[in-house]
Amino acid sequence: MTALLEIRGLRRDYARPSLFGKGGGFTALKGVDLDVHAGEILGLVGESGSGKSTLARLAMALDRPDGGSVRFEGEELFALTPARLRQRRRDFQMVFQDPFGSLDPRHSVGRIVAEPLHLIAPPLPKAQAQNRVAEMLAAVGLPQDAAARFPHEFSGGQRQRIALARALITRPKLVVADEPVSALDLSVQAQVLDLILELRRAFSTAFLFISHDLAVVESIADRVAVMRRGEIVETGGTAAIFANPRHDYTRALLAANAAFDIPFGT
Amino acid sequence: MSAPLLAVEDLQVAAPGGQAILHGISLRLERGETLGVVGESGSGKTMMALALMGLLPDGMTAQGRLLLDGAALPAPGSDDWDAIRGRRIGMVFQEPLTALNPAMTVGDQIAEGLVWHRDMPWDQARREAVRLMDRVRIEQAEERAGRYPHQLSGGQRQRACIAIALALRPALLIADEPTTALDVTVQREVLDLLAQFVAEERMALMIVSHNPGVLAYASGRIMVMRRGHVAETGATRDVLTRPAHPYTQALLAAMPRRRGKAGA
Repeated sequence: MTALLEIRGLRRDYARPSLFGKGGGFTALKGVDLDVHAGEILGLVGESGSGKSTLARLAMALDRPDGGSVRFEGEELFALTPARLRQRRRDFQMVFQDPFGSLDPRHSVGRIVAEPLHLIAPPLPKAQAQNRVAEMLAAVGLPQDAAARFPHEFSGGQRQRIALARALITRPKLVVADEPVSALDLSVQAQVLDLILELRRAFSTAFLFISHDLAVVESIADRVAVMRRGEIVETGGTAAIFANPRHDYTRALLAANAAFDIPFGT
Repeated sequence: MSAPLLAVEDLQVAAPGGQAILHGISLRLERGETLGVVGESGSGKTMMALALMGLLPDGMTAQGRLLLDGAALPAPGSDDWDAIRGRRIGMVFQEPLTALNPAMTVGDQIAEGLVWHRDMPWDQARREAVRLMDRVRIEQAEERAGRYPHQLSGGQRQRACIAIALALRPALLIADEPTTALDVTVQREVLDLLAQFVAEERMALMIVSHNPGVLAYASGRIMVMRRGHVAETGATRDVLTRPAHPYTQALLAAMPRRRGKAGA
């Protein structure tokens, strides 16, 4: 069975220019292999500098690799013509961490949510596009009058709902979510995690869910990949990874997290 | 019974328009004790910390009594804060990169407080800075003292901020989300470091955090804040294992690990 997203031997090097002469290089991804299957939530965990966001950008073809391949439904993304890539983008969308920086403050929520519809050819008639927006607002639990309002009128959690509505409006097969709940309060975080599970059920969308927070990933992912210094050190089913980590780094991460467990009483 | 190191009695803070931000907060903190303050955004936890440091934003008004070692703290905006802030009450913030001066070496930033507050000559203060960096376990302290903040890791920067705060041996350290910006493996090390100073210096520590898990690890007592009120306060273990207030119960139920266990 081929995966929805197949990443093989992916490399990304950053030249590190220095003000004072010689600059060293830095390899952000050192040959990453990763599969995301249709409809699954794959949690990608790692600490800062592990390369998870670089991987996310490459998986979305927002940047070019220095080696390796990213295949979406068997099609090599970096070999596509710009026109074909644009056509394919309706099938993979992204949600970012910062619900403040990722929504254009000058645009109404209706316009923001409708934005990816431009990827659909031939374009949807206006009435149909408006219906889609209304449908998505309902799906993410926002009132219909939200369409006419502006991002600043919404809380952080509501803004992530808007970002999810935008990501899902083209009915993508994959959404890459980079730290989507990290900036949210605990109670709001729980609501957005529940919403992601609900949206996956409703639309059968696969999620590549990136987070530094193991507890969050444990609560939402079907499978987990652990990343460290540009490499995937371990992949497996969520329950298996958390109960039985094989790699030393995974064990160290879990131990560090366990320090902050609350000894829940009787 | 002697006075506690810090006593806050009925602290009320209002925004410039008169809207109440804190509705009468009271707390006590002893030497050698760590108090955790937990709450979500808008709970007032950071505003309380700022009031205790005399750093309330312009136009905000405070009422109530703030006593350090039995003596009243200055009014907001008073010049008398210069003798308190930094010297008797130290501060550590969430973002070490914004708390540090990007154009000054880390060693000099630690030394600067000693020169300013203690009239120490620079060369002596610089030696003291290296010793402090060693104490907060920044490896190769001598060499790293000459580096700039961007040349250190996030964990090292936060250790440097702790060294700056501890240089003047404050009686009370207020740490607002001190580990929130750090990787989880580094978080524990920084909390352990703070605990070590609480024990060694008989310092009192207040840690403000959105994360009950961090406070379960780091604080003996906890105060749960919500919308400018204290929801409940008590021994951390009791409050987090047997929360009495519905808000604390909801907050704990929202923790991802607990969701994971409750769900499925």
